[in-house]
Amino acid sequence: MDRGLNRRDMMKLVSAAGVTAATAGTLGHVAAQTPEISGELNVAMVANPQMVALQKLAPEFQKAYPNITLNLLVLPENEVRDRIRTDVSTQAGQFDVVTIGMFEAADYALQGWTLDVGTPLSADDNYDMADIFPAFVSALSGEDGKLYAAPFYGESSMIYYRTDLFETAGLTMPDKPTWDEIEGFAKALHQPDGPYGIVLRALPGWGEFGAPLTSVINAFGGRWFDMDWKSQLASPESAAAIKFYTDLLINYGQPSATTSGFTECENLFIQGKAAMWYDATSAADLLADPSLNPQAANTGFAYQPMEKIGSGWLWAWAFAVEKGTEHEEAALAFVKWATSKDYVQLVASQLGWGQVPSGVRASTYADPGYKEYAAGFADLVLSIIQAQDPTKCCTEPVPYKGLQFVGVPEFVTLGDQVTKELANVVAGNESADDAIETIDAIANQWAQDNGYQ
Amino acid sequence: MSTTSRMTSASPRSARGKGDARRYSTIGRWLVAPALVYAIIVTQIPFFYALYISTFRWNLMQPQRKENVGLQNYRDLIASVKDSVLHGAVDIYQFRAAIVNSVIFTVATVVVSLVLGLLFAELVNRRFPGRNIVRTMLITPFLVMPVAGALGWKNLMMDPDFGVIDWVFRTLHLGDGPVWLAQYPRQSIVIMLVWRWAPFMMLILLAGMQSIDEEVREAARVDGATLWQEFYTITLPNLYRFMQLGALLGTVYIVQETDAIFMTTQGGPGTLTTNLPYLVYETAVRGSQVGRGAAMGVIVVALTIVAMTFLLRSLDRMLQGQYGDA
Repeated sequence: MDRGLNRRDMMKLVSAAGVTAATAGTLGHVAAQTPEISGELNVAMVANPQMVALQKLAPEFQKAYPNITLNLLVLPENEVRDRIRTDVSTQAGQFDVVTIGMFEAADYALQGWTLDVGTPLSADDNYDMADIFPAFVSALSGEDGKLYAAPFYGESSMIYYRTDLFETAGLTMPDKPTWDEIEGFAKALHQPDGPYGIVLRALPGWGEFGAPLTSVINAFGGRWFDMDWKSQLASPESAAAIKFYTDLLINYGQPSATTSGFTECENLFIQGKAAMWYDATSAADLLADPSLNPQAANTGFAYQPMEKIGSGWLWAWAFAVEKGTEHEEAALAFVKWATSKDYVQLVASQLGWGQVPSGVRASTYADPGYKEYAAGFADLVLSIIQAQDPTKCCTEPVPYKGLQFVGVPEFVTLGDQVTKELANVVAGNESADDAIETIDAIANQWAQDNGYQ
Repeated sequence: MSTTSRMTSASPRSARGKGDARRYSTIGRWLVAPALVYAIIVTQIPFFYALYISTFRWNLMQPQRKENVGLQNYRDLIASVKDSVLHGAVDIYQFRAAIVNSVIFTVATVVVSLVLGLLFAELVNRRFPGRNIVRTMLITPFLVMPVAGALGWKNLMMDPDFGVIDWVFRTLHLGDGPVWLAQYPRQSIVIMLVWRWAPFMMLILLAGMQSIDEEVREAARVDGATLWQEFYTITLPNLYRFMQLGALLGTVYIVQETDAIFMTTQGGPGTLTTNLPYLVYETAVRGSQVGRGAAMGVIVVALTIVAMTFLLRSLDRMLQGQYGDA
């Protein structure tokens, strides 16, 4: 007989929850209150799950800094990126703290648009700067070697796959698969009505389709430009990679590929519509959570596929302080709070390990709690991220930094245009050869227009 | 203006002579001034600033490379269109594609919306039980936020995995439905735009229908006109003015539509759904190339003015030729 909870049960539950919350509060808390720092902070953030978690924990920040008024603006990636870029580059001063990526950090520092956060952060021993993976510190630093954005969470790329489907089909995923093997698995597992062999991004945009595509081009020994900034998109290696990626999607991918970005692919995987998914490692934390992913128990993790080299990918979302801010002290306090070790513990205690900003600090991967939660992938992700070097993307030398993008500020236009064209191939409206010819011409024109060639 | 002068001449005070009239027109000018100043501030100053910016090669990310290049941005854009049209070269700045798409989206949406709007208006202009509910339901798409509407179309309707349309196809054993946004991207955008704008046309045409004297219709019916004859000989001619208004307003609004494109296809695949405003956004806002973006904007304004003048004149001629100044 189900009579539901009676009043006494309810009281017990409520008080138990209160005690848990209180302990969690003291555990995860950044020492005592700091009322002397004050000001109104406008923070613009990308609406990725890790930032949404931060939004939930904002009251904890207010407890520590009662005199700071915190205004969080959390918007989808494409939208907030544009607003942040415009705000920073025109020095409009709408925001004090913004999330920026590895793509922008060095350029903003060069233009003097963001403040040095490394010096004040390293002054605090508790912050433990040495704990942050060096690849991020160097990629987010300016030419003067100072850190201009504090990494919040970081990612590389990896393969997610459905162990149950592999088992039924009698397939075994190797620890370090090659792209050829991935294609073989995709072929064997693909069902026209789902689950599809593999889901991949093909939504136009340099940061959407552009990221996995570029990582595949790198793996096949291709590159975007040679040392004279001549387009290499039509080189045999790059062309082979582009054809491989588009063919893989056309033959064994999801039909909605050209409108699929990270979020759409993740949804397809969670809904059981994908046998494999190649994307950012940051999805692993969520995919391992049974409350967020019904396939959690059957989700396997594998190294990013190799061909000639690994499919390079390194990204971090980081907090930068805009130069024009009137509340520098408050802004730094926020950045320190959000990127500290204590914050990781705070998220773990309040929201669970599945929502911690991972991929940035070695201590996260040493934490027994995280190790237990992320048993299936913690070591794997750690080894993938540590193997990435943003200065060495390709087998051949290139005049730019960055793994899954060309690290110059004007790349946005080129990346958008190229991915649009290739989406047309995935849609089946254009042949890969025609599209490669077109993007090659576009890339050369772009290099001329921007003074590289 | 004509209304004002008619009112002043009709008022008894006009007998006091010319001085008054002049004083009134001075006051009139002052009363107009705030609106005029406002219009100048919000339209002309930005326009001239855009003209100024369009003479620079200027990427916001590279301020130190900003340089005045005169009319080079215009020359580049026009040359790219010319080369791609005449010599089959790659449409390097997507400018030609954007012009073509803008024309397609606008014309197709206005025409289809007008036809559907006319049918809807004719429907709800008749008395039948539940008319109010039907009318409200028909208007609803226009009241839905464009971004939310586009997301609904993308994820709830046109998605090949979770979409309603695909489900209908499969339920009727027609096999898998098309992948709308990949195989028919232009048509899909037009469908979304028509969904949004047909109700708008319906509202305008409904107002037109209700302005038709019921006695005229009744007389026609007494004379034995069929429903179709009534519609064709009475309703339609009386609606031409309203259709002109709908087409004009619709064109002005639909030319600027970007929400559906931004939320669903991001201008792709290829350049199939990149229209002019989206290209300007992509160039100036996302790509930070404000110089070229401004030049595109200026060309768009010039083209729009030419197209509008042409459109209005031909509509006028059409109306005068067929129905005189009714």
